[in-house]
Amino acid sequence: MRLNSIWTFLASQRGSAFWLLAAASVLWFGYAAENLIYAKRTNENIRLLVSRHDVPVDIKRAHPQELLARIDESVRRDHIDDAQSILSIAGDRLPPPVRAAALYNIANTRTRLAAEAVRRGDIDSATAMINLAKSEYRLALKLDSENWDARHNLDVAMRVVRDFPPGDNPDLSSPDAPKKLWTDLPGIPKGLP
Amino acid sequence: MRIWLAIAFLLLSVGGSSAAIDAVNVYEPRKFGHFLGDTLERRVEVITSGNTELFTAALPRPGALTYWLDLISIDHSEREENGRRIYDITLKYQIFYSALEAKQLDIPSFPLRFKHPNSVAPDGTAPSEPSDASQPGNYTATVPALRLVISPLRDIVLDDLMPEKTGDISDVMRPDAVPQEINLVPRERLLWVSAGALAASVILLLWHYAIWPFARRAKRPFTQADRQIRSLQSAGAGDAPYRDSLLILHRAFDQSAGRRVFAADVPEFVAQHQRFSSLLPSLKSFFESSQLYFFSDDRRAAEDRFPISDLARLAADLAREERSAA
Repeated sequence: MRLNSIWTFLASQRGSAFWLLAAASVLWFGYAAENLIYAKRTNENIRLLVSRHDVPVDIKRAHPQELLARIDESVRRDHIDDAQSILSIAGDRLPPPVRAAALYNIANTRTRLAAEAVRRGDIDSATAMINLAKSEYRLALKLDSENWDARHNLDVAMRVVRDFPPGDNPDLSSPDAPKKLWTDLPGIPKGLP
Repeated sequence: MRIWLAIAFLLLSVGGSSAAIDAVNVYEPRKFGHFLGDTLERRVEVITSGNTELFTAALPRPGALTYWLDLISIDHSEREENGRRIYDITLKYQIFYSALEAKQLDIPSFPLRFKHPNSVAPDGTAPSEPSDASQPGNYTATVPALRLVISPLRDIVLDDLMPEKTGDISDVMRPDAVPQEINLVPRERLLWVSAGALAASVILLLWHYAIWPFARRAKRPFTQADRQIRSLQSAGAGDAPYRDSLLILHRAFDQSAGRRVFAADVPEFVAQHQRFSSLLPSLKSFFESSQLYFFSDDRRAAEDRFPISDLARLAADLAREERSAA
């Protein structure tokens, strides 16, 4: 009896239920279509960027891989600063492995430039560039420690210029060497002249 | 209020007097086979009794410890077990040492400082000041040094050390990372599934409102009658098929007109359905012979006047007219 009344209620609401269903599926279909079109357009952009076309990219909305392609292209055109600003604007939006890959590519370019500088005999700029590259490799490895290419190239970069370690002094390297926050207590009068 | 404070004070000082570090357990990772970029995790477990509190401000901070070692993260948690307070400290390191050959390196030992909160009030020392290790009741736990063997990552030839003599550094370096295109297959599949859902919901709506495909089908009684009569004819002969065919066609007329149609109603029916006007003579003879068949005993005569083949033809004609008009 009760089941029957529920059934009749459902039957009376069938029209609105079907309309709801139709509206939901229209939304779903629209979402799926938009998604596919976006992905196709992104792939097109990635293909263009990989084949060295200078395609502009909307940093706030682009897919991570598209941004990686854009960064690569900027690096290839010797606009490392542009690449770095793209990376820092995109920042946390990128998943760590993609960010690591972008950093890795930038660091690779710096390493190559540094090797070129060493060959020219410009050791100072080579050292500066290698230090940047090393810190980028380290950051990349921190983001994605399974990136073995980054490990390998960090190892290569460490050998490009002579790099003297600051020594294995345990006193200096003590992990918890307490920082002196204030050299003296604040608020104590220093005395009159 | 003052009494409560005094009692709390008493309890705290009683607890504090027995506070001590009972044991320090260090769970180390393996000590060999580490490469540049490896992460390793050390877990330190400090079992304390009484009212001992970890001095968190004195914990090592994440960052570069030496040129070859980074402390990535340090987490600490505490739990109670059998009236003892146990502190778990998890340290995560990452190695950045580029070894030429397998090399031993030490992560130096460091202290973990503890304090007891009730030491604040009585002697007036600042709460941030940890208890000195030299005081009776040692409140410092030492995490021992860890000696690691770090292995080289690649075969380093001497040329690498002097790049001015190498051909090209790109031969040594690993290639750049290549951006990956987005996989379209799951998105296409999702689109197909959603298209299917859309089609299904549209069909449901059409069915509900009896529009187009469903409505017309329901309004084709003669087509169905024609189909049924033809299947009856092919099934076999005898008395039954003629009678059944008559009945089927009658039901079709009823359905088409929306009410019972008798012989007297034929002119009206044709007037309402102009498309059947060309079939008026055979319609009339059908109704007459059906009257003869059902309401008199002369069934033979009825079947002779309007044989089953004529009946089938009439049904086919009606169905055709119905379809062409629709």
